[in-house]
Amino acid sequence: MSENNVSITMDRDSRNLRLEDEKVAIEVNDWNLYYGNKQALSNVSMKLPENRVTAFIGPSGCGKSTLLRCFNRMNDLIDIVRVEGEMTLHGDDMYAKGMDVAALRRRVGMVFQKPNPFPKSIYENVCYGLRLQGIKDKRVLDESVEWALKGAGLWEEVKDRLNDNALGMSGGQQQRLCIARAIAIKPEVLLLDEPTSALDPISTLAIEELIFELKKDFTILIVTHNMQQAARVSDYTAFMYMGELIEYTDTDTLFTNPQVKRTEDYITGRYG
Amino acid sequence: MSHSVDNALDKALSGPAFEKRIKRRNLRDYLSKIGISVGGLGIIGAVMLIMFFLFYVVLPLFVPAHIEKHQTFALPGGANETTLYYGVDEYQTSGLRFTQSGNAYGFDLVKGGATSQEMLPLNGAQITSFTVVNELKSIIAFGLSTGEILVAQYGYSVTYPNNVKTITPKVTYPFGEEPIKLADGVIEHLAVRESDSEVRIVYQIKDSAEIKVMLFSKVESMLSDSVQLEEDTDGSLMASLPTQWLLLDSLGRNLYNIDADGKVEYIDLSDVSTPQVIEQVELLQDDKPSVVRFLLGDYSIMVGTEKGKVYQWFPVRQADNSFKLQRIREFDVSQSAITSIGIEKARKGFAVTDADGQFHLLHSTAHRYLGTEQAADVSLTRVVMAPRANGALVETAKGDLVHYMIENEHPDVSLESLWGKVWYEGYEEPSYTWQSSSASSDFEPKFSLMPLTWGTIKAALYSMLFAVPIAILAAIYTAFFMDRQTRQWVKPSVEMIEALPTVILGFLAGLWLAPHMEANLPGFFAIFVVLPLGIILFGYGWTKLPKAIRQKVPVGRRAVLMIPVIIFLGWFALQLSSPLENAFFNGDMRHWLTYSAGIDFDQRNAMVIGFAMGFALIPTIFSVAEDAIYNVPSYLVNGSLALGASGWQTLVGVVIPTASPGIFSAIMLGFGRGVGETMIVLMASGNTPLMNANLFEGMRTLSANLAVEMPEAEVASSHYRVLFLSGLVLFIFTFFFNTLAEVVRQRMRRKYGSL
Repeated sequence: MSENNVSITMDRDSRNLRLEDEKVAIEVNDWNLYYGNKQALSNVSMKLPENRVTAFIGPSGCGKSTLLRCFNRMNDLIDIVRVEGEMTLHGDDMYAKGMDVAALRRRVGMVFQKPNPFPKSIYENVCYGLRLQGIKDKRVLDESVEWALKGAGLWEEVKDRLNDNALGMSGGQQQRLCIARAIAIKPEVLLLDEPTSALDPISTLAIEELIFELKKDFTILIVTHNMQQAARVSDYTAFMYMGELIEYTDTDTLFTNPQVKRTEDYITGRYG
Repeated sequence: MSHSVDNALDKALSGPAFEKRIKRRNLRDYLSKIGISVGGLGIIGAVMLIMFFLFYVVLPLFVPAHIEKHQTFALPGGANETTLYYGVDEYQTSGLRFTQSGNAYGFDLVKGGATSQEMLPLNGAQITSFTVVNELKSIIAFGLSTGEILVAQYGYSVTYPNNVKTITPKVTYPFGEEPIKLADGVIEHLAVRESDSEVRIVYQIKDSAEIKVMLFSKVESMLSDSVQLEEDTDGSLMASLPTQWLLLDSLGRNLYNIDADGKVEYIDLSDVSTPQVIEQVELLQDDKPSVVRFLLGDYSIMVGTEKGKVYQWFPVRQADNSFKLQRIREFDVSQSAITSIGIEKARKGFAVTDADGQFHLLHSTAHRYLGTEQAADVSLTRVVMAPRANGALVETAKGDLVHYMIENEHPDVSLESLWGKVWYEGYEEPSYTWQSSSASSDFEPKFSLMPLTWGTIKAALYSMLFAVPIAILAAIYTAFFMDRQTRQWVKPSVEMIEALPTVILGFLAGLWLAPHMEANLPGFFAIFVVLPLGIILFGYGWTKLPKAIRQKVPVGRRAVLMIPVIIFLGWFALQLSSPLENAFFNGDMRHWLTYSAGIDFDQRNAMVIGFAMGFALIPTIFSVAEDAIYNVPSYLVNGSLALGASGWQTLVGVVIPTASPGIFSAIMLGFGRGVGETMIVLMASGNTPLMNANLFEGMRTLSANLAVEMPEAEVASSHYRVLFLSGLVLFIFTFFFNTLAEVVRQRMRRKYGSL
């Protein structure tokens, strides 16, 4: 908890945020998820606001990562997963029959817990997603790579070694590269699954500052174990417990005046 | 309570028992460290020993001859007489010198010096010409001033007076001591060949341009063992060149009339009664011959020149079936004139002396210069090799005889003859040939490793052509698409194939697959079309089935459905064999291939090897490649999928590039195994050392060659050592490919180590 002492002054929008006033990016209704016979998510319903950072917190195994992976259907890769309920992205049913999963994932980018750059050059890593979409024009690729790397705050560090192998970068740089890779294809939503848990405090700070910048362009959903991080970076916070959404409101309210006893217990460190 | 526990723990962690335990543990650690080190070093040592042993056996092939002067002594019979011939016994203890005057001087080679003298039964005639009838049997013939010839044979008898082995040279007369009358006049040039049934004599009378040929039949006397000659046919020819040398080849078919300028008249004696001049050839340009004689086998003509060169010529069959004399090799032996050429009696090696007193040892096939010795400071007049090529007698112009001891075990192998094209006697052109042994004693062994190396690579490549696509695609499917439960039994099952003894695969390939394939050739080719098409059609049909039926089979396990489909398609393709054969190949594809397409067909061919050995390579390649693909971290796959990639895009864009070093090393390991594989190629390739890429012909590989010939190779012979050399080549081959695979794998580990 040493990060408590690291003073981060990131001024969140000073105006009072109200969920009801926000434009909805993703809407979830009565969402249930089963691993075989075991239910992992129960009756989750929520509206995720556009161009805001929404954090998911909760103890290990509460289903926050599982829920996050539902937003780009990564759970499809696990054979025994079964889902019920409704989920829409800007009004489009994400689980509709005939839905092109690959196209959905282009609209909903994801950054994983552990930096996972491909064993290719930095340049190729960033334009991987673009190439998948069939973009071959070198000029377009160059511009996009520069834009994405600038967006991820990495451009100044790597512009002279774009052709170096990405595996030669530090962990924090690798994670920002993964963010650059994800935003290069201009998704609507960016999912961050504990993006800083494998990083040192300095790199963590860089990523947190980046998230603040990125929400101007993207709707950001972040799963974190670190309540301070949630408090620092997010506009809204959802607290989950045992597969249920316990409390979901603007971050200030959740951390200062939680409505549910469990939430309070968790944020005050009574369990976790 | 807790105090006593602490006490017990303290006791357990100190005191003599504890010390002893720690000591024992350290000892165990130490011993296991030693054991593992010894094991590892032992393996390295064993491999080094194998290498060392191979080199140890192979090295003598490339060592030059060791020539040592044994002694020098005065010419027996004196320097005033001209030597015609030297006979030396097999043990190099005695010799016999035949001279122009008709004397045969015996001498001792151990102590040096003359021992006996004998006069040939010439009945007062002069010796006017001389020829060697049979180099191996030491039969010689003298042409006399009376128009007669005398055939003599050098030999020796071994006796044990007072229990001491004594070798005495002697002269015998195979056709009697009485000279045979050929004509009236002085016989100036003479050439004689004898076979089991006949004797051919070619001669020329002094001051006559007519070359006469006489054929005698051998008639064995009823009463004694002696052989009589009975005149059979004769013929003659007017020579257009003044004869200097008259050479008749071993079969008595080709006659060469050579003049002093090196012009040769090549005469065909197939029909003795009507000799035909085939051609006239200039053997030399700007040079004059000083010595002309046959090499062992009486086929190649060796021409020594005034300028110190030796040329090898022999008749070569042309496209129109006629023969032409062609220059085969050139040896730049000396700065001064060649004075004499002596030949070895079991190999194609020869010795040369020059006017500067130097004595040289060479080998024709291998084109090797084996050694030079300064025998005297005057010109050398004659050289003769001992019967076992382990010694030589050199006669000098000042009347000395120098006896050399020679160690020259392997003159017949050189890098040029192993890896280059060599023009062998009787061949139409230089070629890469492997033919290590034959029944004939004057045989020229053909030790080219090229056809074997080629065969090895051909066998490996054709089987890789079959194995690599199947193994790699199977590995991709198993690692990337198959569900875990199915993979759990598919992978070990494929790997089980590796445990199948290759002798069984070879047996099946040679005795079942090869004849079956020969009978159903179009069917086997149809498989390559029917199988992929059928599988794609089946896959397409499957997607059109109602979802309810499809979902009964889990996605990862649908491959199992392909098994009956593939069996059916294979059967169906073979059923197509006869109709295809009738429709396109006039009912017999084999016949069609040979006669219409001009492609030779052997039953045991590269296609059989491709299938059989490919089958053996599949598990090796599959296993390593599957591991490489399966070990591509799932977070890379997820990362790609999360960027909106489809399964195929992820496979091609991330999985295969990441696994590519592993896939490459799998292929290299497969190739290494294909190169070293023995039993399958031994049993199913036909073992003919051919050098072509024809799918329908066999090959002989290095490993199969070792298995076939090693048991029959005489220990420490050139053949034996060349076989070891081919083993060394094989070792280097597999070593190279396995090392390459391992280096690539190490690099991959370094590159992806941070993943």
